[in-house]
Amino acid sequence: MPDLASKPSTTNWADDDDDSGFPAPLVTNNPDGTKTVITYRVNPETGKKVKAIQKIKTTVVKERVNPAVAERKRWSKFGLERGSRAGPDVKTTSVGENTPLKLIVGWKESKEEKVEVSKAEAVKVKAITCRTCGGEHFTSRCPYKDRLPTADIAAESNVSTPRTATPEPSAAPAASAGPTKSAYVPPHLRRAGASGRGDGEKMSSYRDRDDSATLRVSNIGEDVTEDDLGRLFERFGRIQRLYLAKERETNRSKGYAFISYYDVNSATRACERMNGRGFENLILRVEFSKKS
Amino acid sequence: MRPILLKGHERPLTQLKYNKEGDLLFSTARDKIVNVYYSHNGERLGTYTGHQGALWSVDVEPTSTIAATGAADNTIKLWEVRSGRCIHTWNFPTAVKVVQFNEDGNMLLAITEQRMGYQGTVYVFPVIIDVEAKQAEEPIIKFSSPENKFTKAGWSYLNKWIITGHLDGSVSKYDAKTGELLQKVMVHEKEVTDLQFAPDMTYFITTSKDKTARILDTKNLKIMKTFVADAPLNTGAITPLKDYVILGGGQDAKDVTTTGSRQGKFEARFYHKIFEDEIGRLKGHFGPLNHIAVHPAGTGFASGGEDGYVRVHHFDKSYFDFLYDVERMRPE
Repeated sequence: MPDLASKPSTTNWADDDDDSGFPAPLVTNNPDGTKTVITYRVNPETGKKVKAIQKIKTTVVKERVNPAVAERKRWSKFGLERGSRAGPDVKTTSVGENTPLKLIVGWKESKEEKVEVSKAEAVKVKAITCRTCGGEHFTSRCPYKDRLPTADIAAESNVSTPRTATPEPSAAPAASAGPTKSAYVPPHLRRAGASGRGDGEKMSSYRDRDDSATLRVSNIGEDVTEDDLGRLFERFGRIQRLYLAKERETNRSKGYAFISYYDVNSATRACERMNGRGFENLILRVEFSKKS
Repeated sequence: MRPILLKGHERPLTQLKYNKEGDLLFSTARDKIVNVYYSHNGERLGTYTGHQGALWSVDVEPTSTIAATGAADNTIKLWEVRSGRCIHTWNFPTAVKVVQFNEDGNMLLAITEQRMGYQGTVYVFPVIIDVEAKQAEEPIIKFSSPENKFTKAGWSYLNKWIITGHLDGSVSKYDAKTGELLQKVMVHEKEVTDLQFAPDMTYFITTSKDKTARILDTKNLKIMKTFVADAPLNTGAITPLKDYVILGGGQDAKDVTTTGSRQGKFEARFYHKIFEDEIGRLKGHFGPLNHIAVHPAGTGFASGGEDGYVRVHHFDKSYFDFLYDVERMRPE
C-alpha cells in the first residue's frame, strides 16, 4: 500500500483506492478478436498488490423475440424496485446450486434414501433391545440378567460356527439355551459379550486364527499374480491359503501377500529359502506374519 | 439444471403466474406485495403494493397490460402491469381466493371464501383492457353453492363453462353465461387443492390432499388419468411440448416441524402424462410446494414453496430428450 497519509486529501476518502498510484488499466486488442485487460488492485484480504490479466472474448448472440417481449424488456422498474439498476439484484435473485433432474422409466426412491431410513430404523431397534432377554430396556437393567445368558453369545455362536474348523463344544449348549437370533451382531459387541461373561467360551474369529504357519511376503512386483506365487511357494509344502493384497478399485497388486501352509516346518523352510531371493525384478522379503 | 432463486417474499408463496409469452412471472404470497420478475434471468421488474392482507391469487390478461390480484383483505385489485399502479378495486364481504382472466382477457372470474355467514361465491366481472377506462362495479353473473365450499376455479375453452373444485373433493361444471350447475362429479376423497388447465383447455388436472392428482376431460368431467403420490399434493401443472405433469406438495405446513426435510417429500415430482408413471423428482425447497407454474412454451417451470422462495427452472436438454421405448419406436 502506498503511504496514504502523506497524500493531500483532495477527494473523498472512499475514492482512495482509485488513485493509489496504480497504472491505468491496459487494454490490448488481440489479432484473434479477443481483448486482454490488465488491471492492478489491492487484494482486500491480504493487502497485497495484485495484477489481474483478463482475456475477454465477446460473442454476439442474436435472438429473435416477440416484439411485445422486447418492448417489455425496456420497461423501467417500479414499486419497491423503483430506481434500481438494470440486471438482477442479489437481494432478490440468486442462482441456486445445481440440482440434477434425471428422468427415467420406473423411477423409484433412490437407494441412498432407503439405506438412510433403514439405518435410522436399525439405530432405533438397537437402542431399545436388551441383549439378555430381548425386551425393550437396557441390558444392565434386565430383570433376568442373572438367570439367562446374553442373547449376544447365542447369536454370535450361530454366526461363527460355519467359519470354525472344529466347533467348540461349549458353543452348542449356549446356542440352545439362549433365544435364537439371526440378526447381525457387530464384532465389538461379540467380543464384549464373550469376555464379559468370561465363561471360557472361545470365539473363532480372525483374531484367534492359528497363524503360526503363515508367511508374509512383501516387495512383490506389481505384475505377479496369485498363481505365480502359488507355483513359487508350493514346492516347500501344501499351501492352505494364499492371499495377495490388491487395491479394491484398480484391482492392482499392493505388493504383499500372505501364504499359510498346513505345516509349520514347510513355512520355516520357505521363509529361509525365499527371503532375499530375487523374483521378477525385485528382491522378495519373507517373514513370519505377526499378529496385529 | 441450475434454478434461479427468487427471494421477494417473506411469507409462504400462494400463486405463480407466467404471462402469455412467458417472459414475466408474477408471484403472490401471504405478505402484502405482488412481485413481477423477468423469467429468463430472475430480475425483479417491480412490485404491486396496496393490499392490506395476505394475497391468494394473481392473474394477468393475454396482452400483459392489466393484472388482477385477490387478497384476504376482501378485495380484488386491478393493476397496470408496467407501472405498478392500482387502477381499480372491487370489495367483497370475505377473502378472495381465486382470480382468473378468461382467454380473451375481457372477463374476470373470482371466488370468495365461505366465512362469517357469507357463502362462498363465484363472480364474473367484465374487464376493459385499457388502464384509463372505468371498470364496471357490478358482476355479470354471481352464483354460490351453499352446501359446498369452492376451493379453486377456472375457465374452460371458449368461455363456455366455469369449472370449480370443492372442499369435499368434487369438481363441478357451471354454465358461464347463466351460472347454472350442469354437472358435478366426485373426483377426490379430500379437498381439491389446485386446478390447472392444459394449454388447449380441453382437459385439466386437479390435485388433492388425498395424495392423488387426476386429469379430467373438460367436456364431460370424465377422469382420464390418475397419478398417485406419497404425500398430500398442493399443486399440479401440465407441461406443454412434452407429455409430462409436474406435481408438488409435501406434508402439511402444520406437521412440518415434526419431520426432517428428507421425510417431508418437498420435491417437485414429474409424472408421464400418458403412462401415469413417476419418472423423476427435483429437490430444492425446504417446505411443501404451494404452487407450480409451467412456462407457456414448455421450456421451464417455476415453483413456490412454503419456505418463501420461488425457484425458476429452465429445463436441460435431457428433459426434452427423454422418451419411452414405445415413443422411440414410433415411425417418424
